[in-house]
This record gives sequence, structure tokens and C-alpha cells, in this order.
Amino acid sequence: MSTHAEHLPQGHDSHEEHHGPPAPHYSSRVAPPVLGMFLFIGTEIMLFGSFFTAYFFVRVVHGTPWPTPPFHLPKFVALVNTSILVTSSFTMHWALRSIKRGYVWGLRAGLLLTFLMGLTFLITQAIEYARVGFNTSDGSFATIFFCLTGLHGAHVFVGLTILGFMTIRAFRGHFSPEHHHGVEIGGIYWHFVDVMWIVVYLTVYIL
Amino acid sequence: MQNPLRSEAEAFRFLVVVIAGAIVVAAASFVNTWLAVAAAVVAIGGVIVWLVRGPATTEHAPVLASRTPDGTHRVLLVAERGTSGISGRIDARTTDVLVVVPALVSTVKSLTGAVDDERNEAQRTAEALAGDLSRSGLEARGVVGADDTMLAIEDALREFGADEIVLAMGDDALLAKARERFAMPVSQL
Repeated sequence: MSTHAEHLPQGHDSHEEHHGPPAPHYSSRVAPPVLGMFLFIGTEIMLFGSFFTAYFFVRVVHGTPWPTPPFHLPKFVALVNTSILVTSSFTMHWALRSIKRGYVWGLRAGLLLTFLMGLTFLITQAIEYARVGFNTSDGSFATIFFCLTGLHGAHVFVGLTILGFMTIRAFRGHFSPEHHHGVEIGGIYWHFVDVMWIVVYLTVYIL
Repeated sequence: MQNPLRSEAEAFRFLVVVIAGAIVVAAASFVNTWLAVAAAVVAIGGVIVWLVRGPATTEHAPVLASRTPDGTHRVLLVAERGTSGISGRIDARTTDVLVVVPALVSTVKSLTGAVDDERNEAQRTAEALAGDLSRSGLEARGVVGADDTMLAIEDALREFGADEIVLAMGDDALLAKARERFAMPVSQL
């Protein structure tokens, strides 16, 4: 992280003897919370990768028509939904930039907008599921469609939960220009969810 | 190399690059699906190249400064493995010295964790240099640093307030980099 060093002591006025076991070899290259997020997203990529492998086998190896007639994918609705989710990443970024500059209301507005857009995305996806005209039992195309978009939807739900807590904390004044690590980590996750949706959108709806 | 997970700003930058690639793929899909697949392959390659060769983070590393009590002059001595015979070359004002020997290893060894030999050698060098300095009347101790010299200095400064950094590494580029990074005198033996 950019500034995690600022929380650490920068020089002591006296020698302090270290007691007990020696301190572990610690480098500031990757802070532990970021390493945790790194490993978490690594597992997520592998999880999505397994579903994309299934998609590849169904569509390329097996040659299943995509979408399988007589079904159609609601491309326009998905495009609008994609725009909403992409925009939410921009408001997320704006929120973090605001708090770094000490603009607390910018943080609050940014997080609230991000949350509302994420919620809109999820609700729209649920409506799309209800009206799409096929179900998971309607062949491998339908199964993969629901698995990929549903897996992503679950991640949006988790992201919304994190965003909800972040927004509440922001309105309670928990974040400052010096201390906003909770927003930073949540922001990384939200952007990851956005990147994954772009990949899902391209493979499921466009290609 | 860039790490899109290092901070929200870098993750956002990565997202913008992905959006740009996605627009190219979507545009190609209007012409032909296989052209879009080819565009996707090119876009993925472009993103990988951007990650590997792109500019590093724009967020500057913290400039570390430190404070020491009056009447003391503390030196952070950074030496490479195998360094010896420096006790007579330290500033006469010096009262305390922390010797840091970075455990520099090759990328392959770093990735595979085969760093024990280098760390042991660095430990021996650090102890020998600290021993020499102690015998000349200074308060000295030696530690092994990170596998990157700048990180080793940063880590050491967090627990050792220094008035001066002295490099015994014979690397002018490193000297210039350290002078730019740290808000204290940096010299080279």
C-alpha cells in the first residue's frame, strides 16, 4: 500500500532491546492485508476459471450453439447493466480520491452512489433471470449462462455487503485522509468484481 | 512491473485498461465473432504487456526521516555480503551503528525460497562488521535486511533512528536513488 509506513514508528529515541523470539523477517513490499486480498482474488480467478473452462468445452469443444435456439440473450439490458456497474467503479474511485483529499462528503456520496448502482445491477439481473425465458434445466447453454452470471452476481452481493458496511462507517466518520484502509481494500474488491463482469459480459453476451 | 492489487488506484487503472480492451473486442464482434476472438487474444496480450512493462505506481513511497537524541550520531550502514575492513572509515562523530546487510538473491532463488545460503552469509557479514565496529568503541549491531536494498533501508529506519545512511556497496545508481528517497544525508564508502 502506498502509505502503510506512516503508521509505523520512524526512528526511536533510545535503543529498545527485543525480548522473546526474534521478530519474523518482514518486508514492506506487500502489506499483510494486501497479501490477503491478493491470495483471495487469486482463488477467485481460479474459481471463475473453472466455470470459463466449462463454457469453453460446451461452446468450442462440444459446439453447442450460443445461445441455443430458440432462446435469445437480452444483450441490450445487459449492456445497460454493464454501464451501470462500470460507472459504479468510477464513483468508487471518486470516493477514495475524496477521502484522500479530506473531502468526507465526497466519500459518503461516492460510496452511496456505488452501493445504489451495485444494487441496481443486482436487481436488474434478477429481473433478467425472471424474464429470460429459459432455466438451468434447458441444456448446457442455459446451465453455463446461469452459472457464470450467477457466480458473478454472488460476488456483487458480497461486494454490496462490504460496500454497505463501508458506507455506514463513512457516515459515522470512521475514515479520514490518514486512515481509510477499509475503503481501499473494499475498492480493490469492487474493481475486481467489475473486471470479472466485463469478461463475463464479453464471453456470454458478445462473443 | 505493475501490480493491480497493490492499491485501489492501481486496481482502477487496471479496470480502465480492461474497459479499453473490451471496447475493442465488442467493436470487432460487430464484424465477425472470430475477429472478436482474435481481438480478445490481442487485447489480453496487450494488457499483459502493459502489466509487465507499464510504469510503476505513481504513488510515491514515503520519504523516511528520523530523529535521534542530542549528543548521539547514529549511522545506518548498509553493506553487501562479504564486506570487511570498514571500521576506520566511519565518521568520527558516530556513536551508534546499525549494520544492515541485504540478503540479495537472484529472482529465481527469491521465487523458490532458496535464500538460506545468502541469508546466512549476510548474517555472518553483518555480525563481523558489527563486531569490528564494537571493538573500535562504537555501539553496533548487525542485522540481515530484505532482498531489496531500498526496502532493507526502509525497514531498518523504522526501528533505528539514524542521522546518516552510509552505503558500502559501490553502486552509484543506488546512491542516487537513496538520496532521492530518504530525507537524511546519504554517503558512500
